[in-house]
Amino acid sequence: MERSTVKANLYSFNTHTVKEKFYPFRASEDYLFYYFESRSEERTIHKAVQFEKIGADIYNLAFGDLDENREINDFCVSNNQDMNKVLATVVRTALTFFEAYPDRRVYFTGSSKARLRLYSAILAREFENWKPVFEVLGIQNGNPVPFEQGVNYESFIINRKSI
Amino acid sequence: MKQKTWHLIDLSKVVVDPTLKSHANDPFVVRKVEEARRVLAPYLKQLAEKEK
Repeated sequence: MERSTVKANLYSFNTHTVKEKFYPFRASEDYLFYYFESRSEERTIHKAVQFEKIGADIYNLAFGDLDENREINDFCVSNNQDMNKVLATVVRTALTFFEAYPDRRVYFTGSSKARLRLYSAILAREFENWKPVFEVLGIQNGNPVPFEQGVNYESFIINRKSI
Repeated sequence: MKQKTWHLIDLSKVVVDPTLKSHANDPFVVRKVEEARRVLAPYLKQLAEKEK
């Protein structure tokens, strides 16, 4: 791929996808754990993202709230009226993970059917933006297949393309 | 053509906090990883066989 095309693809991705506002976050020294705070007038919710190896070069993305025991859970719908900003922050942590580990892949799914549908909808909506720079596989019956808009999947695997 | 590295994030601008520790042993994380391994078991087996 020509250098000018690469630059155009990255510019497009940055402009359209990374433009979403996100919360400031902190990373652990190995870039596998991330912490940020979801803030509203009523409350502050402590959020965490942990990347953990599943096998081969694939890492699971676990995301949730830090409870009073400083453990992560996603049982509660905290609903701080900032879903887009929270998701944009999680995406940002994933981009940081990929920067630190460009040859690794990230697996993620929704904690509920509703959340799975949400992630699928976002991937479909942003398809033209991420397609030049990331490869997304959808999992069907345990098998990864190239992501297609309008198709239901159980979960997803994402990796950076070499461009 | 030689592949060049491209960057979306400048790691030097990411705030690294040495007090943040791994939550790999967090029950939630452990459960999620186990679930992922179950879902991906056939695929992981394929990958392992390819590496042999």
